[in-house]
Amino acid sequence: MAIIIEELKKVFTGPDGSVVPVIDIPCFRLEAGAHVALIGTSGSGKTTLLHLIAGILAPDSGRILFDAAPLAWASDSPPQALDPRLALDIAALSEADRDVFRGQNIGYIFQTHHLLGGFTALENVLLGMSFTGRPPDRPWARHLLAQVGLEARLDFRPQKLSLGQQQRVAVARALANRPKLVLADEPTGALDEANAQQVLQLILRLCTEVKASLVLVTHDMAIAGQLPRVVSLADLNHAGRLSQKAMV
Amino acid sequence: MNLFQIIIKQMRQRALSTWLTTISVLLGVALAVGVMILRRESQALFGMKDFGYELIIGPPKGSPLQLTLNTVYHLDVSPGNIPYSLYEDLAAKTPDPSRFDYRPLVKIAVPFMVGDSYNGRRIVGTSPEMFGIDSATGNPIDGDHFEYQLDKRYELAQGHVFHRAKFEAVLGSDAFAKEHFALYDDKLSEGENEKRHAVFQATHGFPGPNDKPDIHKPKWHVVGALKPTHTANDRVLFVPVISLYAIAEHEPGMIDQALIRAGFDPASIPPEGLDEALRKAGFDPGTFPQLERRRLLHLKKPSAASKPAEDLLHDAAVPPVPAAGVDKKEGDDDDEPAYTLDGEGAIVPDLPRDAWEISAVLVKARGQGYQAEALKYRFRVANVEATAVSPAEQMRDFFATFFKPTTHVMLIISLLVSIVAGVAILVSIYNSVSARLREIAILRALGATRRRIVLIICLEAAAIGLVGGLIGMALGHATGAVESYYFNLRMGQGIDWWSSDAYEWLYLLIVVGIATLAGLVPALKAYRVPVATNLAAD
Repeated sequence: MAIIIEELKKVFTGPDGSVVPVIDIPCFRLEAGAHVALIGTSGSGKTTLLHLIAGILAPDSGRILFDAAPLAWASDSPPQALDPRLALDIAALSEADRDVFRGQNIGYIFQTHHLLGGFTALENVLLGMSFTGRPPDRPWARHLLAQVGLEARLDFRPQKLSLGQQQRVAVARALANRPKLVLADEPTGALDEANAQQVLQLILRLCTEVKASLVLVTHDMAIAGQLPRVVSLADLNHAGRLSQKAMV
Repeated sequence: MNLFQIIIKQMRQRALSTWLTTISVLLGVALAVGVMILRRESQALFGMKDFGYELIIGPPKGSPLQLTLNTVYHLDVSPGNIPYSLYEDLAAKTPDPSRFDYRPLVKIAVPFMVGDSYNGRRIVGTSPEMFGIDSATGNPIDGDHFEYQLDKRYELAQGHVFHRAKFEAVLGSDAFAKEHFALYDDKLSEGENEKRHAVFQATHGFPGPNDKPDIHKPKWHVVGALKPTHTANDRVLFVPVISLYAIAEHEPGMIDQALIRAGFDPASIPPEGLDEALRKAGFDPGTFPQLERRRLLHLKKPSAASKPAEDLLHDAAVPPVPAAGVDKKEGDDDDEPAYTLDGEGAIVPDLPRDAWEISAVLVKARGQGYQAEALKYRFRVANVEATAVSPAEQMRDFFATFFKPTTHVMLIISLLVSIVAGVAILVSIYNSVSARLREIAILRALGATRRRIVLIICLEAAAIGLVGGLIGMALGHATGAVESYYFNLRMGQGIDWWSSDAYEWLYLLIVVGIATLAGLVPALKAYRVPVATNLAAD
């Protein structure tokens, strides 16, 4: 799924009332099926950009356009197409529509696994399928867990799994709905090198398998270097017009 | 995973908190349902309208309610006695020109006499007519039978109805079964029948736990057992009323009452005036029992006579005044039989017939309208010896005056308890939402809309209300079973604690509604959870 970002702006208001610009991207394009590493210093706004793309946050202005053709859209009334080819601007959707769109089309991998403690590994993956309006695909969930090497630990709760295993469950959950886009926010940040490599390879392999585009945020150049394209958020933000001081 | 699986998972994750909240709900519901059952069933029990008889004729003392409770439910003490002759007038089949003719008004009249007990169970003296047998012939009555409730007659499970004047007894089903009685077998000796527990002796009154029981000498043979009636009568031992006049201990009380009615104080009648007093009280001095004559002549203390005389045939535990110089002991009646047997073996009590008394007469009028009202009017206006009460009216008033308001208050209390339980749900889920902000944010990130989150929280609250409500209903019915046991113990009549009515289900619906509303507050908190902030909060 191709993404086009146009004139995207997001500011935060500080505790003292000061306005802090975080995102100011004139243009960014991600081709369908492309894998890109988004790098930046800590607090530069990488997570904010992923939240904006995922529809977790709404931008102050600008558009985030998704290629219409391969999108799954279950809403009764699809939002008005802005362009014959680029049909959907997630920034223009209501919050509820953004939630539905995210559940159906975007897989999200967090820096820490964010699994639910009361659910087993399999249930956590099935949970990822619960908000799409489609019946849960249990064989696919098992397949994903097998792919991440956890077929013997389907009924384990997160507390019984190692950190690396937990993150692999999170990867499987992100792929549960066969998303068109996977957003991975420092997915290897909390792992040792061996586990980090293992998780990265899993993400790349599974994204290829489901033909999902990938935006992987990392500050680790060794990780970023393994992806075909590396983009610096600082470069995206008006070629560094936002001062480093302004980044949060 | 569907929504319910997610909810159940989350509830299980917080099992302790969930169960504690559920318990607070179920206790509230159990209380309310227990009260609802008590209210409904007590109305059925005490608000009974379908009596098989219209009137209870009893003494003009005490309250009509006391007379009704004592006669129908065997509760409270008997308010006093009425002359046996009144029963004879009511039951007369041939007119006596000197007496009022009740035949146009009365269809059936049966005597009812209380005062003695067996192992805490009431002994009731009555006539075979109560069980559909003609006293005179011993044959089943042609035509209308006495009914304890509308269209419900006593039926024998085994044996036969007692003779009108023998020491025989017919037992209620509960009394027969629980006291492990057997039917008297004529082929066996008295001793063998005693061993088989086919014979019993009556205890005077209802002695308290620390009282020495005063056991009457005569022995009644168990000749019949009734089928269950599911009324207080199942606990009763029925004996011929005449057999109660053959108990030596009952004589003094009845004679004293007859003398009092004639205007004499039995304790201060001078020896030279005794015959005149006896004559005025309706006795024949020539045939008056010698033992009783001696007793009256030896009574010295003016205060000692009248009170026991009142109590003798009531439920009071006060023993009768002993014959002078005789120190009575357990089982030690006057030893001198107070009766003789006629050629057919029927009891002929020594007690003069004019001294015979009964506690009440149960009257089935010839019609529920005019005849019943005319009887009531007659007893209220023209007859000073007795009064007539309608048990249906009394019980309806009793329920409306005492029971209904009480259960109203209890119902309001239980509703308040349910609201408190609702607040407990609110607090519990509110706290859980506060502790689950990150989980809620994760669900949002996975595509759950705010509405879906609100739905999850509200359904969780509703589930607690529903589960607590259902278990509470079950517990409420268990409480009903305890109530039934208590009623059965006290009155020989249980309640239908098992069945539920529409009000209970409506109440459950209200509880679930309250629970859902209680979940709305934390749900709105969850609604406002900022996803990005809580995802970052690690």
